[in-house]
Amino acid sequence: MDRTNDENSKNDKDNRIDWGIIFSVMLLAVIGIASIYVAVSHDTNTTSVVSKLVPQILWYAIGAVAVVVIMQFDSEQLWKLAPLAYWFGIALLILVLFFYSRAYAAQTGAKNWFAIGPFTFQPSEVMKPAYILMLAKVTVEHNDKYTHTPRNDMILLWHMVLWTLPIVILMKLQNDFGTILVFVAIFVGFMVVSEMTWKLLGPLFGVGALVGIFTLWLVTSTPGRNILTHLGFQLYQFQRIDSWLNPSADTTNQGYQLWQSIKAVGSGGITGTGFNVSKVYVPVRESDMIFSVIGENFGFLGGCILIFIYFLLIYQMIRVTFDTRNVFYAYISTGVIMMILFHVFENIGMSIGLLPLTGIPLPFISQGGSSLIGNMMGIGLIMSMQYHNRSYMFSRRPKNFS
Amino acid sequence: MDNFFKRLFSRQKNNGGSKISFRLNFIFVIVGILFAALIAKLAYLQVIDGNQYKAEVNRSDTTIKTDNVQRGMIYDSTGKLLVGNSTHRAITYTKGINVLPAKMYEIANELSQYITVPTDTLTKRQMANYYIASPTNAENIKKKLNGNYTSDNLTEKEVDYVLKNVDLNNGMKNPATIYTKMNGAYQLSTTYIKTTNVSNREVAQVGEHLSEMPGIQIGTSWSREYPQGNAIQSIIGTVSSEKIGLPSDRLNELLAQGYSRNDSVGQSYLEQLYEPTLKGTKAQTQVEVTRGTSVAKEIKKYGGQKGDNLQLTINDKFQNKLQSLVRDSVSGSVGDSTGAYAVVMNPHTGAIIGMAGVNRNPKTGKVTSNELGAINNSIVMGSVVKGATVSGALMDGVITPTNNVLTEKPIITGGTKKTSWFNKNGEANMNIDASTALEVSSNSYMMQLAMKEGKFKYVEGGPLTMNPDVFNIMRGYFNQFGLGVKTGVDIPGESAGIQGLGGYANIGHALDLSFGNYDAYTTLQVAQYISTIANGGYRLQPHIVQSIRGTTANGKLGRVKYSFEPNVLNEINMTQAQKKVVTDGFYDVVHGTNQYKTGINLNTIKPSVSAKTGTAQTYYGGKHGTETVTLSLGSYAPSSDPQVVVALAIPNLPTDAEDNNTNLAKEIYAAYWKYVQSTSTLSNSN
Repeated sequence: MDRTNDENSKNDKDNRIDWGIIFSVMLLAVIGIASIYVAVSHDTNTTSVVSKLVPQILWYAIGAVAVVVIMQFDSEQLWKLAPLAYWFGIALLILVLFFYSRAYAAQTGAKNWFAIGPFTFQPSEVMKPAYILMLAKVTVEHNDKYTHTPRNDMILLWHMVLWTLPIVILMKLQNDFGTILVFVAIFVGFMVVSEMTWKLLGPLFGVGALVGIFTLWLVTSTPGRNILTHLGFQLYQFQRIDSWLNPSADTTNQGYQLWQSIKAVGSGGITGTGFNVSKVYVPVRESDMIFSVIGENFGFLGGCILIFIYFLLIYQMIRVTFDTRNVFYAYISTGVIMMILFHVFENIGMSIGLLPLTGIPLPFISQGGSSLIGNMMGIGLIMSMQYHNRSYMFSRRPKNFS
Repeated sequence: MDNFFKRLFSRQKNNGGSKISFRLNFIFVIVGILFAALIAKLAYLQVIDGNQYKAEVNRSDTTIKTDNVQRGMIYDSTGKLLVGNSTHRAITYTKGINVLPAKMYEIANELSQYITVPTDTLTKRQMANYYIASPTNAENIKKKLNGNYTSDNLTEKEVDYVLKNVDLNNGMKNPATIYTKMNGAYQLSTTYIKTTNVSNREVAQVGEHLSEMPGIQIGTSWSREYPQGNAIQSIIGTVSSEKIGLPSDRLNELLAQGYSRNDSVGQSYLEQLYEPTLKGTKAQTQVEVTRGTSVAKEIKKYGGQKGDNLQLTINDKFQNKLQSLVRDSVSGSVGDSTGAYAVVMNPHTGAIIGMAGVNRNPKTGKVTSNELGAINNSIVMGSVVKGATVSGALMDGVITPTNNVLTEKPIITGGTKKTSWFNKNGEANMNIDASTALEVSSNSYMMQLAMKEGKFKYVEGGPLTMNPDVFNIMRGYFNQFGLGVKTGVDIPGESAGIQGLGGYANIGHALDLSFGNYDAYTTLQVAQYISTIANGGYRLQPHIVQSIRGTTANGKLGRVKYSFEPNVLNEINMTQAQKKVVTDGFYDVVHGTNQYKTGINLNTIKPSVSAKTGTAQTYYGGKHGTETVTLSLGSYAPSSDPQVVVALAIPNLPTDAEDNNTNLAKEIYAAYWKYVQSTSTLSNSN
């Protein structure tokens, strides 16, 4: 890249790194480690707190390395990397169907984890950034060839579906419904940002909304459930919905985790119980239910601050995207934003009874290496934008490409 | 290629660029809306409902765990242990918080390797429940059910499936029984897995593996034992065993009082009545459950208090003798006798020293113990009530201590003749006073008293057009002595007696009532009535529990915590002279000079006895059955300073029976002075 402006080059290195995003992520990391500390120190009987925290800190370090590595790729390299990453991810997803962790599957029924000794890894987390890259590439390629008419956009939509379908099928085989939703969220984000005409999006979203409302009616009302039962659905599948609708009704089995979480968060009140003061036990609160710790210890104020940090992070990502003015990057960052948005919304939402429970971690905070790496890869992609593309921004080159 | 990229990445300059900007902003707005939704829900949860959840959390974060204590014991009046507890080593299970069936399944399986429990009460359904507690089994069956269930009836369907299709072999019985017991426990309450015959080997093996089986402990269980024999159960009652658990008819009531399902609880009589005293107070441990399913901290709040002991008024040695005497009284040729009952009581305190009873099956002659027949079996007692009749007449004023001579003669009203036993046809007509009427047991005298109370002018042969209020008048006096009302004894289930029909249609029976041939009373009522006469007019509440006592450090009978004081239920409003008419009569029954005195058989007893005999004309098998007599007796001794009351009844003896009541009384008095009270303690024996 050529730099013609001396004025900018002296603090070039600084400007090429988006310290705002790094600061947000680091804040989240600190909150994460503190929350995991609270969860682990209250829940662990045998193993020491240190043995739980050290791996997590290590994962942050590995994540940081991943960010630095991915930052080095410029858009051209990412472009070329996209299909490789995609097929590599698909391969992992297929492999995990055969080599999934038996112990974990027995516990949760989901065949979505590798376990090699003490090391566990969830390939779908890596699939997310790879999928974002691939979808960005597909969209750019399409938009380069076609103008946006409803007919042309249908072709794009079809292509996007083709690239999404294998993942959805594989995730379904792994029995990991929550993660499918993440991919759907990313997909919807792409639909919006890929400049598809509203003439197509309008009806699609309209139909989607209707289907959504109808589905909600099906699963929550008795006649709806009767219809579903006739279609072969089994009633135990509604238990999760039931405990979502009425968390205090059955607090022994399905609803126990949710009810505990709601109690924990609710009892936090406005200012919280204070750091490391926890009275309510919430199962797996060190990972998926981590928000119950934050809600309990830091209350409404703490929860708002956390949501605000995520908001800030997403704002910075969008700002970088605007600054970069690169379509490929715009799509990538949309994917990453949708990924993080969905994780945050679904995770916090389920912890406070707004949404049904799914196994979705809170980005940068929940314990667990692979989800952290997946998110850090997303951050790496965003960072790479500014790192490589400032020149586009500040170069005085004429920008009229035909 | 380079050109391609340049072209590719430069689109922001085209119209599309602003479009993307718009779309990105659109997404950003969505982000804002979604986050706002989160904050709104958070605000609802934490700001609006926060205090409610705080209260909810503070309520549930500590729980009280209870542990059983030894039940109080029961002693006789001399301090002899009647009901004790035998201690067994036991394997117990304390259910943690939110323990899932799968975990209990695991523990039950492990525990079943070390101990063997009796499996005879296990049902197939319980076995099936055990089977589906295994997550693997449950999952397999769920698949086989093919979605043919709802979340409500899943367990039921699974159980049905198991019952139909799974071979529940005998090897499963042991773990299934253990699982059933564990599953039946409430969280944080301790249940017994095995209480009897726990071998040393079992204790050792379980002990070694305690850490692998959370909640399992080696503890102690108690069961009732009866060192003097089980016979006493018929008065004291029984307790439910932990094996059977709480009696099902009182389950909810007891659970509400804080019992566990497998607690022992008094089921009958004293054990039930004095349950709150005997059960003690369970040990309480405050459990903090900050770590969810595991117990974080246990603070012993209260060490528990063994149940208090009961000391009874019953003298065990005497009681046994009394029971055997009563039993013997209906052996041999006693015709259609249906049993015999006796109560021995202290007339000054109401303490029941002995209470015996047997039922006899007239068809087979088989005699069975029924001590409580003395309080719940109503018998037409006969003349024994005449002391109350005379007392009533004195109180009513129809006779006075100085003016009470009437002519003993057959009473003929409207063609019905009723007579005294010795004067069936007027051959023994004579003038007698009230005391003599008691001495000779004159029915005629009593009937005349009844007619006087009924303000009826007797004309021989004329119709008995008496006001039926006379029933109420006579019964009112009887009631003051305890005849026909509950005595208030501290044993549940006493009978108030049986009243015959009143009213004008039955007016002839008013005459029968006056000499005890109409209403039926319990033997204890007779004892209370005689006591009231013996102690000078105080109707005392009979009681069988003397005191509630603690336990000493070495397990012996401890200090008296509560002692029963004599409880006067009512006082008889009679002058000394009036009372003397009756007591003289009772004395003369035994010691009098009239040829027709009825208690001559008792005059050999030392110290001297005052008594009233009773003979009722009865029928075994209804009005048209065999004609029988019921012999009864109310008596006290010594005559001058009564220390003991003996009341007894032997219903449905052959019509020629005469001395069965007095013979039994003689032996009872002999036993009393031998086992309970030495005659040398008496100030003057006459």
